[in-house]
Amino acid sequence: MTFTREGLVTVLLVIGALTVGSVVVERLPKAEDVMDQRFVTYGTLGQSVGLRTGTITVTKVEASRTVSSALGRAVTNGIFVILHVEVTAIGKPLSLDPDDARLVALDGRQFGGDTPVSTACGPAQPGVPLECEFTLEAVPDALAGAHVRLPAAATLIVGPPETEFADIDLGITGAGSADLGAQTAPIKLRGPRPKGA
Amino acid sequence: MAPVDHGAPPGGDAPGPVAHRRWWERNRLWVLLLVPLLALALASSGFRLVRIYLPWNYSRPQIAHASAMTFSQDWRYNSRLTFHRQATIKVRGVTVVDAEGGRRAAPGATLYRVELQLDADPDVLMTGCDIMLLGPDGTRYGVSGAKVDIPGADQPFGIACVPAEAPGPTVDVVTDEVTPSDSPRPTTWTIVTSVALPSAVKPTQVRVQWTEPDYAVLDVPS
Repeated sequence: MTFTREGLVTVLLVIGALTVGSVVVERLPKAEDVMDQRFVTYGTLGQSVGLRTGTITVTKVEASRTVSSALGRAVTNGIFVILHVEVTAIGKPLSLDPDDARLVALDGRQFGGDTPVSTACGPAQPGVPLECEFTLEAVPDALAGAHVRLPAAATLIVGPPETEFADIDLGITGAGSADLGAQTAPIKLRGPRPKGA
Repeated sequence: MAPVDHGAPPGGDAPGPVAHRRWWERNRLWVLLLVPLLALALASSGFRLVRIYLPWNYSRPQIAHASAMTFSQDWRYNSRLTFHRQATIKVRGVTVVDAEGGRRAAPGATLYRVELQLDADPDVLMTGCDIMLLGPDGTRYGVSGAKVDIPGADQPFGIACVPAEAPGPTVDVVTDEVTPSDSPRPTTWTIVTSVALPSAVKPTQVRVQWTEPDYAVLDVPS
């Protein structure tokens, strides 16, 4: 077997190309990373958060151990946090599902899911604000410093999960959480309605 | 690796034919083959887009550029039943009204009554339509939003896409079988619904759709 200069160059070129390819592949995001990547826009109580589907504003926070709506009445040993949310769709009608919302405590605990009084928030017509209440069941010691994470659209039964969220600081201080946790007056939910109706 | 012609005269002006061939000449075939291979790689990576995303979304408009058109689509139900849907759609009117179907517009919105005329053979499945108005920028406005119920009035649930007493054939969701209606559907019928738009927006087009991915876009008659 005879080694030539051309042969050596070819071998070096192949090794170089494989090295470059390996480095590029390592640096490119993996498919699962792209699929799971979350797009989070942060905001605070009263501030409009712009998402691809529209704008979401949490205008007020209330709490009670008893909540009722047209669907029924719910009582908890913990606390129901009621978020007053204003939704304005962009481009096409938008529906949000309060069951998708998560209250995230400072220590990372998450609260939310289905409640007996939850109603869909939508459809919001583009350009016409819709007011809704989101009810989340939590424990009183999770309220201080809590955020709420709202998906940009209702999670569908089929298809990939929603990856865009509004993360809103509810502005609950330690004293504020004690006040909210002590609330016992029942709250009646009005359900989704156009703003001003 | 290409063989080296050891018989070529060293330093000569006319080396042998093999040694004289440059890298490009010796590997031209493989480089050219890279083009279809790259095309194949791109096509295969677009599988999800072509086979899943586009067919399952409203991605194929049929634009009339008029207030009447013949809409045509082939569609499947549960990947087992295949159908052909052909209908002539005519926008008879999009007019401002105070109330329609027991509802009025929310504050800041204007209610439009949408009247469509449909022509289709009685054996064509026409249930389950959705109707929207489009603004000048293409924004879609649905039939449910920005409305307020009028107390005491009856509010219909959804759009009556076909005559209630003679809806034509439907698919039984339990048995996946096509069920004919008791009375044959007339070849021509009218759909009436309403859409509330922000008062600053005037509708320019009507969008009508049944099964993904096809949908019809017609002009609002002037």
